[in-house]
Amino acid sequence: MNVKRYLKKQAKQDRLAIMEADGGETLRALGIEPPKKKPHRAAWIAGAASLAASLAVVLTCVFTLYPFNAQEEKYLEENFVTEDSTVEKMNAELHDFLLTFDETACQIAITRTYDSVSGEALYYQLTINRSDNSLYGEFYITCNEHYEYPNFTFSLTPIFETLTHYAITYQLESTIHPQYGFETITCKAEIKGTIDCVYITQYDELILDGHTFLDSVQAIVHATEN
Amino acid sequence: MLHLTTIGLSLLMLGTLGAAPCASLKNGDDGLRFCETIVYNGTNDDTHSTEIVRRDFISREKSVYDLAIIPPRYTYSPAVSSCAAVAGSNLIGFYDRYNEDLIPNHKSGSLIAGVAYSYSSQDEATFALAHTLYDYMGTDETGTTEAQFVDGIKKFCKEKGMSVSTASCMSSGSFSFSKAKTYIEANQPIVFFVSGYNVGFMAERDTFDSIGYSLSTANHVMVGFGYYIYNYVTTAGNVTDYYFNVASGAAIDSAGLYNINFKTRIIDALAVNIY
Repeated sequence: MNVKRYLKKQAKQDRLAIMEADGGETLRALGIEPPKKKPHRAAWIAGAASLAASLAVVLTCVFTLYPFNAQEEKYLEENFVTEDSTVEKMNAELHDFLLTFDETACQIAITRTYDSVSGEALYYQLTINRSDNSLYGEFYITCNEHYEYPNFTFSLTPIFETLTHYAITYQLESTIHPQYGFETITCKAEIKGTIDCVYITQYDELILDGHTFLDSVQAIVHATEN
Repeated sequence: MLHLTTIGLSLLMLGTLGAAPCASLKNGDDGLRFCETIVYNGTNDDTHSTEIVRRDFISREKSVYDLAIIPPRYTYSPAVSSCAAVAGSNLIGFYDRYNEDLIPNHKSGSLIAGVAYSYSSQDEATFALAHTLYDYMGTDETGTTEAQFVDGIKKFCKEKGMSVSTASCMSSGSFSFSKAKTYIEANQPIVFFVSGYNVGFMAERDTFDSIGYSLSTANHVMVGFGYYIYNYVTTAGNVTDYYFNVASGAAIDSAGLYNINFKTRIIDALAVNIY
C-alpha cells in the first residue's frame, strides 16, 4: 500500500512539474488532463505583503515629492525684493482690510516685498510706535492669495475671539514690570481675511490709560466692505 | 508630513547643537580672542519650531534688571545672512540715546513718567544704518564672523568720533552669567554669538510659569538689554532659570527672553561700551 501511495504521489508531482514547464501542453497531447494547481496560502501571504510594501513605497514617494504646497513654490525667495512703502500704497493693495493710524501720534515704518519675476506684491511689514513710545508693534500683512507667511506660530495656546467685523486669534500676557512698576502687555495675533492676513508679530504696550489690546487693534485694523 | 518635518528639524537641531563651538581662535586688537571660523548667518526668517516649557512651583522669586522698558528691537535686514548687521543696528540704537548723532534723523526714544526709557521703533534712518553696518562688517551671503562684527562697529563709531570697548563675558570657555550681569548693571548691552537660540514668551501664573519658546538652529548674533533670574522652589528642589531680555533681530519674536541654558550654545558674548 505504501509503495502504491508513493508512486501515486510521485506521478502527481511529475505531472505538476511537466505542467509548470510547458503550461500543460505535453500532458494534453498525451490525453491526460493536467491537475488543477491550488494556490498555496503562503504564496497569498507573500503576495499580499509584497503588494503592501510596494504601495507603501509608492505612497511615500507621492506624499514626499508631490508638490501639495505648490502654492508656496509659486514664488522663490531669491526673487523677493523689499522696498520702502507707505500706508496708502499698502491699503491700495489690500483686499480684506484697511489699516489706519493716527500719524500725528504714531511713527510708522513700512516696507513692501514683491516678487521681481511677476511683479506681484507679497507682503508688507510695518512697525509702529506711539510718539510717547508707550506702544511698539510689528505687523506683517500678506496680500497675495498664493503667498502665506511661513513662520508665524503661537508659542502659547492662543485665544480665539470674534470681534465686530472680524475674528482674531491671539496670545497675550500682562505683567507689572518689577523694576519700573508699569503694567505692560505683550501679544501676538493673527487676523485672517479671504486673501489678506494680518499678523501682529510683536506687540508691547505700556498700559497708561486703561485701554485694552483689542481696543488698540480695532482702532488700527478695519475690515473693508466687499 | 508634519511629523516627518518635525523629525527633520529635530535632527537638524541636534546636529547644530552638537557642533564644536570654535575650531580656531584669533587674537583681536584689544587682546580678546575671537572665533575665526564661525560665520554667523542668521536671517530674520530663520526656520523656527516652538516648544512650551512649564515650571510648577511652590514659590517663585525673580530678579530683573532692564536697561530700558522697551529696548531697541530693529529687525530690518539689508540682505540674507545679515543678523550681525541687525544686531549691530540694535547696539548702535541703544547708544543713540546718549549721542543722537549716532543715527542721524532718528529720535532714539523717550523717558516714560521720568523713570523708564522706551526706545523708538525702526525707521528709514535705522534701515540706512543696517546697510552701512552690513558694508562695514564685510558681510556677504555667507554671513559675518565675530571679528568682522567688532571691526564694523568700531569703524562706524570711529567715523562718528566715538570709541568702542569690548569685554568678554566668558570664563574658561563658558559663558559667565555673573560677568554679564555686572556689565548689564554698568549699562552695557551684551552681544551674544550663538549656535542655535531661543526667544521665550513668559506667562506667569500663581502656581506655574509657562514659557513658550521659538527656536532656531542658526548661528546667530543678537543683543541682550537686561537680565531676568527666576528662582523657583519646587517639590523636587530649587531651580533657577537665567534669561536675557534680547532683541533677536528676527521678524517673528523680535524681542523676548533668551534662556541661556535651553537649546542654545553661546560661542562668545561681549559686553560693548560705546563712548
